[in-house]
Amino acid sequence: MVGRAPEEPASGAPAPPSPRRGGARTGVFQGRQRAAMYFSMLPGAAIYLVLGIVPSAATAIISLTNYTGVPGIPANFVGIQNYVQAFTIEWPGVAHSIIDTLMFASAVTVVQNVLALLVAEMLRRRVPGVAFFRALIFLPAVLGVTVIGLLWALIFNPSGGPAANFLRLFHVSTAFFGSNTWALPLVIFVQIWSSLGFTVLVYLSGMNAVPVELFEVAQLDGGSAWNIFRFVTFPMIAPSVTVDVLLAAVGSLNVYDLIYVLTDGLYHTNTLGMFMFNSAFQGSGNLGFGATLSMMLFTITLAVALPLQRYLRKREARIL
Amino acid sequence: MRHRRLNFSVGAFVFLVLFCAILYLAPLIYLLNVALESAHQFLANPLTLPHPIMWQNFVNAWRDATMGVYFSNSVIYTGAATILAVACAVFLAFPVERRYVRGSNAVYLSMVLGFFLPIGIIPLFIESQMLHLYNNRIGYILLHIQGGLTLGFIFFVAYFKTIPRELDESAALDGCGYLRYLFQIVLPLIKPALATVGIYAAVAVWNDLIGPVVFLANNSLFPLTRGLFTFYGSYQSEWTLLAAGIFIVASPLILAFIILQRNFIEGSLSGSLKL
Repeated sequence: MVGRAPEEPASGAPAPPSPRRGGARTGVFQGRQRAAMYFSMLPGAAIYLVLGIVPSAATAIISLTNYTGVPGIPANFVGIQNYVQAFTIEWPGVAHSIIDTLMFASAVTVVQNVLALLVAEMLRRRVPGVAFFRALIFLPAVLGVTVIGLLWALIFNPSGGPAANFLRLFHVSTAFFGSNTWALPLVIFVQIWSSLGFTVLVYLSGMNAVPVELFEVAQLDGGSAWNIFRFVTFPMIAPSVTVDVLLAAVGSLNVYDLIYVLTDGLYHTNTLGMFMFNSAFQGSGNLGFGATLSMMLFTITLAVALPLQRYLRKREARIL
Repeated sequence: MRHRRLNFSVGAFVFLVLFCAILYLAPLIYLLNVALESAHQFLANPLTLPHPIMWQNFVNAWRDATMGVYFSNSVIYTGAATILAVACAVFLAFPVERRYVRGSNAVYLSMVLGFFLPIGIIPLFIESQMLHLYNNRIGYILLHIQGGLTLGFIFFVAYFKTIPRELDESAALDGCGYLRYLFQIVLPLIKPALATVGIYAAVAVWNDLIGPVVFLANNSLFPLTRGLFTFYGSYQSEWTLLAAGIFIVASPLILAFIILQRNFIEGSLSGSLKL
């Protein structure tokens, strides 16, 4: 499935290009050709530096200012004032946002991976139409957040949508994405729906790498499907588990575009990313405070991802 | 194939059919159904088959949402940003993989590092205003090169490894210039990689919604995503038109996915391997 894609980045940092003694090799393209080579590198290097590296690093600096983004209003260096604010006046909102973020991310990570394992296990068996099922489940990845968000807004339309009609059979009515109870679970559902296909593919490629003989032996020994999964499949795909769990955790902690379409952060779906976006770009446009929230999100992401990665790698080493 | 009977599972098949039908096919079919219904029928009974079939909804949605403008904007942004991203990535990746230039290691490490760093949307917004990239087409295109550039770089470095150095040397000996060598000899050899990176980058630009919200202010500059979202804001109750609009935006993507599925899946899997 992965084709000729580079394999090594899956485990730790990708290996740098094979080092050659003496640094740069000269001698192949010389003179004007060498100049052309340097010259052709310039646009990409400039774009990467100015629009890639600089903004990635500059969030920390912006978080120490009261930048508003409104032309004409000067920005001042205010030290840690934004951080003080986040932990004092703004703390109730920030605390709620942190809770929303952690609930969203943990639910997405767990449910998405359990469901993906189930689907991958089903796809692994030789059933007709595997390619079709796989493609259908992967399709949302190409649709993009706007189409996905509006599609589910149509289905969970509180007045006369199919979900509302179904619930009416049980004399239940709710505002769905406009409900304090249901908005977060539904946003979690849509997020899982849109990224499940990818998670399944990673598990599937892990399962396909397991030697068939292992399954045969287990089957001949009379292992039940559940026991084969538990003692053969699941341990053997430990590297895929690492990739899928980490990607789901980091991805879901940082998601806000889908939430922007579905609820705009209302009804207890105000994750830190969403809060950051709305602070910075809606209303008064408080870029300094937005950057502060961004730094908090980055810190939480590291605090979750690094121990998680260490745990999952150790687990791999223990099993394999 | 020997194990077909051993592994075939009716339970798995039934599970997959139900799972896909309920969660993946039904929503899409419902979308098409609503898109073809009259407003009257949608209010009375949206779950019945459209009668009469309102093809007119697509025409109205296209016209009322001024999708013609958004569509051509999307095509321009996606086309230009993708081509530039792929070109920049090739120009950077080749000399770095070959270590023909000083600082190759540093460039390589910084590109890998760039994968891990968070995208700073707030500094990017400030920069876009300082550099006059805000609210104009050229700026919007330049702001969308970054993603494809990093993915392409990592991807192409791996591909260039498979091209023997001797080829460079014999080309240089024969007096073939660097750029001509790159375009006429090297690029045809990495066509699959170009397609994969290009498609992956193009879909990302095409689908971006946060970008147009942050970097564009004029309606006439919006791409389809933002145009559709604006349409949603002002036509919230007219779901038949909206469904037709969603379908118009989704259908080129679905079509492209059916044709280019393999490339897309490959790009997305390798994009994830940044971990």
